Amino acid sequence: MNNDHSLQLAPEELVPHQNEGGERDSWSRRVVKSPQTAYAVATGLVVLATLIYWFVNRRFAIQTVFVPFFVAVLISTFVGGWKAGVLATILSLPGSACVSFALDPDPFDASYAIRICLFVLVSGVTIKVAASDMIARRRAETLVEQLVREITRHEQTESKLAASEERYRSLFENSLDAVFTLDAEGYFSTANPSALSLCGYSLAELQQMKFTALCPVEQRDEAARQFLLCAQGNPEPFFEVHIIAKEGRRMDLFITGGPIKLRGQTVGVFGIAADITERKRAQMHVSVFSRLGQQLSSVTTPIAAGRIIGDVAEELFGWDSFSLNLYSLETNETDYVLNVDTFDGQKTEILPFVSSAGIPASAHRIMTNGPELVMNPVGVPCELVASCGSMGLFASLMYVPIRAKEKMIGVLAVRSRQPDVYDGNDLKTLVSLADYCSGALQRIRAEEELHHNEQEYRALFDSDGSGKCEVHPETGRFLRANPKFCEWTGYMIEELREKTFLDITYPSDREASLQYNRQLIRGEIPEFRMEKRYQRKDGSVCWADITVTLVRDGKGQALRMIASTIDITARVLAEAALRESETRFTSFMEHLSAPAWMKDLQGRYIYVNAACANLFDRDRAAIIGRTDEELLDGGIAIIMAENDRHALSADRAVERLETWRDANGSRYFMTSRFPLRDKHGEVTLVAGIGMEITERKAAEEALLLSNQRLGLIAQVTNAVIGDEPLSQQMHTVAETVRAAYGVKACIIREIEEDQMVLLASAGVDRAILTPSITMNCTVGREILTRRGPLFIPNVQELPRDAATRGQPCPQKPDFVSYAAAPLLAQDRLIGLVGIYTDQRIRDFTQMDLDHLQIVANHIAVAIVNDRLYQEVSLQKAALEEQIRERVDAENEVQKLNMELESRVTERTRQLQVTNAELEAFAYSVSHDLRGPLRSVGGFSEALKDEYEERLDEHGREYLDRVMTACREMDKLIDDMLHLSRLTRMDMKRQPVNLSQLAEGIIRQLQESEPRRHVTFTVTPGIVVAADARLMRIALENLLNNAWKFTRHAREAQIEFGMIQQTGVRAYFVRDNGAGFDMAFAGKLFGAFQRLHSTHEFPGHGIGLATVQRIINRHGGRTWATGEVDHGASFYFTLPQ
Amino acid sequence: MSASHLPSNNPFILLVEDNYNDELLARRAFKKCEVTHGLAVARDGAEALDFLFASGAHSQRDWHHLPALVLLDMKLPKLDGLEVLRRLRADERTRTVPIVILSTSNEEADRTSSERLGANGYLRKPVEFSEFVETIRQLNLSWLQTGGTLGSDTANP
Repeated sequence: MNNDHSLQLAPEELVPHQNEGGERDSWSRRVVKSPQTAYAVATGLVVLATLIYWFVNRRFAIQTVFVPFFVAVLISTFVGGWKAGVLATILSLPGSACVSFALDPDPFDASYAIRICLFVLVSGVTIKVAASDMIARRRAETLVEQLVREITRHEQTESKLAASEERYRSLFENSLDAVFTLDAEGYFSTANPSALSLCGYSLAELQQMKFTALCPVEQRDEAARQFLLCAQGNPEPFFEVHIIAKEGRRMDLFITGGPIKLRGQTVGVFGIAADITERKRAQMHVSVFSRLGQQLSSVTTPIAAGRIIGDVAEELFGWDSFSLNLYSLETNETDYVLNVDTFDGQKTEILPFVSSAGIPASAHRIMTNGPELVMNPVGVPCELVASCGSMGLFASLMYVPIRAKEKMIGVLAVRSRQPDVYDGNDLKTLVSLADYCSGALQRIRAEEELHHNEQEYRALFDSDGSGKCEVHPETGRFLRANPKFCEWTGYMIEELREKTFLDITYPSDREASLQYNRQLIRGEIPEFRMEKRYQRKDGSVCWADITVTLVRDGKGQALRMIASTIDITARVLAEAALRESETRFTSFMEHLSAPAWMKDLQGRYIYVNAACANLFDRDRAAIIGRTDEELLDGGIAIIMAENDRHALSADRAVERLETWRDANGSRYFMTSRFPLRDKHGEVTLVAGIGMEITERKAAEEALLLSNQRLGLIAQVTNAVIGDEPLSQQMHTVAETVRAAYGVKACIIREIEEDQMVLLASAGVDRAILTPSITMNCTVGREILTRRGPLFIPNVQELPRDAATRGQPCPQKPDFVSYAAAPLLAQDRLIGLVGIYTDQRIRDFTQMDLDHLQIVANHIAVAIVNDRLYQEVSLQKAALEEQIRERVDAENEVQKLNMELESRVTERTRQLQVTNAELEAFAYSVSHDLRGPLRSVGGFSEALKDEYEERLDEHGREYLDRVMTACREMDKLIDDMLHLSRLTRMDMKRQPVNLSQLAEGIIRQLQESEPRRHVTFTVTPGIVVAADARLMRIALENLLNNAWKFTRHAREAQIEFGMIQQTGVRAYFVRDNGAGFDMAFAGKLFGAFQRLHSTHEFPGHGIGLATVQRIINRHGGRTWATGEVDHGASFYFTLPQ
Repeated sequence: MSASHLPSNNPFILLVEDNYNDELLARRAFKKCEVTHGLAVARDGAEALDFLFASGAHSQRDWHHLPALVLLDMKLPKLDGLEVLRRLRADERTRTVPIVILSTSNEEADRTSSERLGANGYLRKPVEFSEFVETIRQLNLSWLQTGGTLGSDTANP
């Protein structure tokens, strides 16, 4: 087939070729055939003729013999035609000439010329004749040859044509390839049997069809184009075409074609077709499956895989319905992946009709039996289709099970409404598709699983509520930690990476944790779980339930430890709290005096407290697990069970009054029964608590009474605090008491001297009562000794006292029971209150008496108050008188004060005037006294200066004395001015550190006489509020004095300090110097007063005066103590 | 009184002093200290002003001829020294004339008020003559010879 190209049927070959013909074997023809040969022959003949001529001429001396030449010309002409003849003739002339010249010195005579001419003439004629003959003969020969050749060739062509045609026909008819020809319009003209069988049509049918009619509609244009190309002699006359055979079978043909030309005109097209359907299908499968592999490798969902498979199936063999459904034979579950049906030519994904019947029978069959190809010529619906909701009828169906690891997991189905469209190959293809599909599905499932696992892991790691972390097995460093763990420990992940797990483990848990880790790494345990404590970043401690596993690589090398921690802090705390709570509960219950119990729903006791056990009078163990019926007598047990049921059905606490009977008789309990729920809210227990109320009723009554009495006391209190007179108040009280106790009478008596005098009464006519009873009666004595309430059940039975008997008692009331309470004021008996019943005996209880005592106390207070009030009223008048006197006195004082003030003001003014005068005086002293003094001094000096020589020794001495006295006086004036100035200086109080001041002065003193050794002691930190300048002067004077008067002391000591005298601080300067006689202490501070001679200690006696003046100005005081030769102490105070 | 006897062009000192004894002592001190300036004396404040402003009894005097130094006693009849000082400093003509206050008193108030009124110095008249001479000597050296300012430190006794 492939060498079709060489089998072209060229119409021109049918025409005989001209190049065929036989060759003549004649010599001449061969010579003639070469013109050069003729000339060579001519030349040779001439040369021969020349030689003959020369020979004849010499031997025979015949000079005119041209015969040889003539013969040569003749022969040349005959052989080579006229041209050779002419050549021979011409060549003969020089030859003859040469011979003639060689033999005859004068050859060129007339005869020679004539001979020549004659020769030429004769030659010419000869040549002419010879040439004409030859031409004619040759012409005839040629004609014959041509004729013969024509005939021969014709015969040859005829036979060749016949052979070729035969060969062609046999080839055409017997070729396995389909060969056909088309006419110029494209209609089939011929077709060989192969072609006919290929397309299924008969030749007659085919000859009515155009070539393109075989092609599918959409490919016809392309086929026509290819046809045209072939007709034009396409240099590459191959093309593929898809045709539909008569029975609708589709096939692919490979066609080689070319034009059929007749006499240069294209009259049709021939074609050789090879069926390449199988190859094409194989190719397509290869490309489809390779593409399919690619596509399926990237899908992520089964439905996407199904769509791709569906598309491929459509491409491969077409379908009207496609379904990919997964079934599980084990669980009988169906997973509809993809179902597609064609509606109105439109492929539509349909939702499967979900039947609860499980796997359809056909699916079951196919999954069990394997692939199935169903050809239903009539097209009947089948289950699978029906289950897919399709209403169409399918004629061709293919089912293939989808297998995964030797297990059938689903069915792939392809259906067509066309009959017989699928064959075994398609089924095989579908099986392959199913394998692909299965692979994809498994991959998807695996990926999903992986993804799921990954997600699960991630989710687990990140957010399953437990803290997770990964730790390096050797270093213990954190590799990873999920947010929960970070949040939980309070560390950032970056911080954790810097730490080891031990760093954040609570110290006392580290050893255990480490121990486990070692075991884990050594492989002794696969994982471990422990409860441990972590120390959070903020220092707080939390409990964790930690599970640690170790991840190893393929070689068993430990890679990382994964710890999953659950915060159980709350649990641990809760457990602790629970334990505590339980303890508390138990303790509470055990100490509860009320019986409490719990029963299960069957009525069995599961808990009773001590009180309850006591009630049963049994051991607790004997109660637990038993029911009331077993423990109690029937009637009570039934009531209790009834009450339990009631509480359970009401689902709330139910209170009941229950009677309990035991050896002690009946007891009454107020019980509260309530259902108890477990943590799921289910009622599992019924609990109860009982409160014994056997004694309560009595108590209730008592309470009522008590309330009444309290009311009574309130009334009494109200009565006694009113501003009515006492008798009126007492009357009200008596009435109130009588009413409250429901007695006949109430009588209040006051004790005066030794008589009980009636104060107030109620319920009895005052007139019939004894106004005054002696204390010496029975009641009086009792009251006096008891100092508490008194109860006499029947006064009638009392012996009549002599004292009482003597009392006038006009009409004795018939009192029976009597109760009385003493009125006590600060333990002094001031009276009594009594209540009487008449007619019958009443048993006044202790409580009655107690209340009566309380009332009595109130009454006593009221009486005392009244007495006090009386007293106060009297005293008040006296007091008012006193106050009046005092106001007068105050007025007087005020007046005196005012006078005093004005006197002080006056005195102050006077003082101010005096002061001013003093100042003026001092000022004038400084000027007016100095003037003369200066003159005395000045001129004395002038005198000494200028007249000293003229004076004798006495004179000079007197003069010196004058001058000394003068200086002395100047100094005195200075001191006096200084002193006066102190009085006038402005004063500014501020904190002054006297200690520092003293130290400064001491330094100056020491510097002034460095040789002296004096021990100074200064108490540090003495700070006063004073004028700093004045205090400096004062201290200077005092310290100067001390310095001066210790001059002769052996170990001079000067001290500045402070003492506290009767709350007043006194500051002192003390020395161990010359001291003074205390007899003269008063003169010490006077101006210009001296206790020592100037000679002994220089000075003007102004220093202490200055000190005193300064201290006085501050409002302080100065004094001195001393002893001759034992030093002196100078004290001063300053107001705080 | 004696001021008019002075040669009109020579530099001189005006001593305002009512006490004749003091004047004598001052003259003696000047002499001892070899002060070459002439000495004019006014007996009271009023005369001092007349002399300096060339008015009253001194109206024939040329006021331009101002003393090189005025030694002004604080306690003077009629106008006291501080008043004279105030007036001299208030007048344009005598504003820059060097004035040194002489006083017996050692009162701080006197010293500060004289300084406030513009005195160039304050001299306390000591009872000790030698002391006075020493003061004048310093005055002579630091003031009259050099023409420098009489600082209060040097004037301090």
